[in-house]
Amino acid sequence: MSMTLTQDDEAEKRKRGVRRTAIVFGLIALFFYVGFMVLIVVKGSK
Amino acid sequence: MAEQHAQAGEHADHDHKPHGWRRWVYATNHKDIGTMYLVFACTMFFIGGAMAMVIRLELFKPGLQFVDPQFFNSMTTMHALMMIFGAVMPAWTGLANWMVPLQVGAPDMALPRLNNFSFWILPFAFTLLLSSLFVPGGAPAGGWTMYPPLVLQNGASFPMLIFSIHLMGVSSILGAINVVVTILNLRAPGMSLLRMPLFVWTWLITAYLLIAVMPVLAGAVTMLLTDHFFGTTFFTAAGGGDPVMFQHIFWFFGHPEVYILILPAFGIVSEIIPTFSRKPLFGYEAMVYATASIAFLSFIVWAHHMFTVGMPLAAELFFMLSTMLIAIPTGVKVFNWTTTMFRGSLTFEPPMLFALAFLFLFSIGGFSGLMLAIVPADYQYQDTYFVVAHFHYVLVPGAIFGIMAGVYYWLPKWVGNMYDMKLATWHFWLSTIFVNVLFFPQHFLGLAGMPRRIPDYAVQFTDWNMVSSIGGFGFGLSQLLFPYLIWKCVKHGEPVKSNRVWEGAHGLEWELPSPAPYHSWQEPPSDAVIARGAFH
Repeated sequence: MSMTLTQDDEAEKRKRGVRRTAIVFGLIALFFYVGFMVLIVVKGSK
Repeated sequence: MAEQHAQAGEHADHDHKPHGWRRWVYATNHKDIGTMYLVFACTMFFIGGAMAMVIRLELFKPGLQFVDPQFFNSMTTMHALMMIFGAVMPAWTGLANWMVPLQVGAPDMALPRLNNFSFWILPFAFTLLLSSLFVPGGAPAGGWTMYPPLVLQNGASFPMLIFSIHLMGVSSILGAINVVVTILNLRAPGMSLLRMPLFVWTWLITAYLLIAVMPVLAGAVTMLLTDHFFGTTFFTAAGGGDPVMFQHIFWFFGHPEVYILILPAFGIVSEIIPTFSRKPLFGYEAMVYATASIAFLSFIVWAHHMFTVGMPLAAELFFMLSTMLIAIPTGVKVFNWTTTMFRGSLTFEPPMLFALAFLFLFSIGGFSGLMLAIVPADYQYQDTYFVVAHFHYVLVPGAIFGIMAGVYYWLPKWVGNMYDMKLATWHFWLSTIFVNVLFFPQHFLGLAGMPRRIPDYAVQFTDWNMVSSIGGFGFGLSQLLFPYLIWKCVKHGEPVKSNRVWEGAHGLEWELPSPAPYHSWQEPPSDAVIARGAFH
């Protein structure tokens, strides 16, 4: 029983890790997409 | 109970493998998706190759022979887009899908449904791009770099180009996120980062590059789109915009893109050379750090593509010197590969032959890159065939040979059959001879002043253009051996007898049966198994 719980915990931990890493890298990609456009608007408005 | 046993037996028989079209359309298995990526890449390679044949046919003799200049320009533009985004990048993603889970001891990619979505975007993206050949005004013809204001003069193909680039970008970013998440979260216990095979390392670094730069390209083409249709003036000088800014943004993406195309090849060569030298890789950690250094430097060299556009002297010096710095980690890699072979027990099976050709011919491309990095010299070479020769040496015997080396290395593991070694050796020699006949004379043409992206040329360039075209036709025809070889291997190949197909092979993939089971590493490998497969 405790073995099963440990395995479940491990699986849940991995799932959380997968979700967290995917979101972080997705946000980084989004930052680069929007960031460069903002950069140009800022540069153009100077 | 009996029913349960029957079901278990059924599962064992079928290995949980779906059948028919559903297996491919709804695919979530990393091996199926990897196979689809590789088949797609091969198809795009031949379509892009057919475009190259049109280019070489037109350039066989001076004067306009077969196609009008507009169509010729479409061919150069489309050939580049097909080969970069359609052939090489999906081929690497296919190899990553197949090999990363097998090599890190994971049961599949971390995000299987996203994996399916990443792949199935691609056929739509390329159908859209290819269908632009049939719209009024023809396919995009302003070069794959899409510089404004020229690109804004495209006809109906312009929005098709922009949308297809966006789709390709989305596919690449999602694929890269999947690779990073898999490597960081699904490694088997005991598979520490510095125990990972070099192919996994190079792909991890490539994925970081993809996540950082593909959105930049998407941002740049979004701004082109709004300039064209929504009245913005990001890159229109008349409205206060700056067309040169596009070039800076494009090459901020474009230079790391070169390393996206080549780093996984470094990983594959780092797997193959130790196997066929029967020695561990020399300087494993140095290889990892060299790869990371190359990736870092790739972000600070972009303006070497723009020396003749004009920039302050200090900027020219900075970009010249930072570009030359890349030779150091690249030199470390070449040194380590060579030292791995030193006093090794070498044999020359097709994967090793392609890896060795990679080593010699990629170095030629690297040296001409150093020549191009020198600012005053670049003023002479800019926009000549010397540049064409340089990047084709990097991408064909570099990236393409790397992919072929990888396929010849792992194909027996994938299908459980050995391919026709003799025919594969023929494929290697024909490819290597013709690739040099095709691209080496282009150095001479460039140094003599022949500009690139032209359908006609002065008569003094005739001889070397003829030689180059003959090399092109030879190279194109010899590539037909490749799909034939694979088909023959799958259908009629001799079954391989052991898990470890190559005597000197190391890594978790060689611990699995051949062919690799549909579901692998359901139970993570033990530490002893991981240690046996580790590089060092």
